[in-house]
Amino acid sequence: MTSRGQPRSVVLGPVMASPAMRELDRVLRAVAAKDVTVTFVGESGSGKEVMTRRLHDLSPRRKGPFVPINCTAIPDTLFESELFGHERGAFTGATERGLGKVEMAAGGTLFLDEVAEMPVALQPKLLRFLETHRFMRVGGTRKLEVDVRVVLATLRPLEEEVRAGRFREDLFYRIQGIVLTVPPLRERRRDIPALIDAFVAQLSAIHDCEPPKLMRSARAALLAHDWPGNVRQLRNVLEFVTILRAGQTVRLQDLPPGLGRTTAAAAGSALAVDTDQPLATIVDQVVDHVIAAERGNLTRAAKRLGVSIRTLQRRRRA
Amino acid sequence: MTARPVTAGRRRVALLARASETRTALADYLTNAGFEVHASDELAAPASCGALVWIGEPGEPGEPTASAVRSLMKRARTQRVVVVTSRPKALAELVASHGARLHVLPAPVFGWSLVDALRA
Repeated sequence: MTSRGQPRSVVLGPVMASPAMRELDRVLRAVAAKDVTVTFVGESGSGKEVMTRRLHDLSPRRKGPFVPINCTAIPDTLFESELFGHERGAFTGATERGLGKVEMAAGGTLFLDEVAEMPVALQPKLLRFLETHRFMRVGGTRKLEVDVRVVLATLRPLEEEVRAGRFREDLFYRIQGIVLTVPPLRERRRDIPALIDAFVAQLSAIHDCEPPKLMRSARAALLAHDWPGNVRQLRNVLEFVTILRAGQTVRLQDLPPGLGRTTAAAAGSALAVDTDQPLATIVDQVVDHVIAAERGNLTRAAKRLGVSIRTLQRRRRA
Repeated sequence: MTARPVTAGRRRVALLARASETRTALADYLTNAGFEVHASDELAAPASCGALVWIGEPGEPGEPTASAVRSLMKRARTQRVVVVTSRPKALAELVASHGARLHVLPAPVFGWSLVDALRA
């Protein structure tokens, strides 16, 4: 990204400026080539599908298809057909054979997003498929075999769903291959500047308008916000300002109601630090917090931290 | 019985981008994704390629973009064309007249969005 807010390239990879995302990427690189089931856990909008796509790209299956399914978007009655396909005449309206997502993903990666929402009645069939890689289309009589890697994602740890009886225990243990947490945006604030630049550029293109110029105070507010809706919420806020402030400057007061006020309060508040993490991560959090509190002014932030501005800049690049 | 992969085998793609850094990085990415890539900084439509990818410059105005893509569509004739541009609205008429053969992605995009567009 350039300092003026325009991405240098028109084609991007996932943003990994923060230590948390770089660490996640390090793990992805290690597991990508291994034939293990991976489950991503992360809040809504945190980028689980992006990281799954990254996993696919890093794996030997990258030449094959990537097929995502959002388990919340499919009615229970159609789920089995959507997943495993159907034979002609399997049900009313099935005038032709239909391929399921499992077959479409052959040689590649099948991504089951929000897997905790999968109908309980279908979970044994998914379990059998994960164990054998064999399945039967709805209305079919032959078992088919397919080479596919299954990646799952869930908002909450699946243990809670198992305890509540909404997720089968045997399936839970089967998919406990490698569980990776996608950190919420508030835990990887260093990704925010690059995300801002990419979203502003893309949203300006989509809405055919000149990109707005975010003033330092507005950028600092975006950096300091807690983002309960994560990257998706950040994008929505940037869409708001891109449309309303096209080609103009964006000041703190131009941000959606609530954001500026929350930030002003947050900037003056004490920082809650989870001490059960590496020292470097804690230092990064303190540095980011002070920069946000000083509304992006690195000179003032350095003075407040008692370090030189060069030390602060080196720390931010680390 | 084993279900066969639905996607076709290796596809030859022409990658047209003026910025050498973008061209090199994207050629590598598409090659890793299973495409045979013919990279060029000129507006060309090699007959041996099943699809063309044209990467616009960041911030390029709408009219030169539309003019370049119009010219590319004439050369391409039957090939599928995928365009990445910061001025997608400038191509609305071309998209309307060429239908599914022209696919426009607003920049910046993830590399895999291009892969999906080429495989669609």
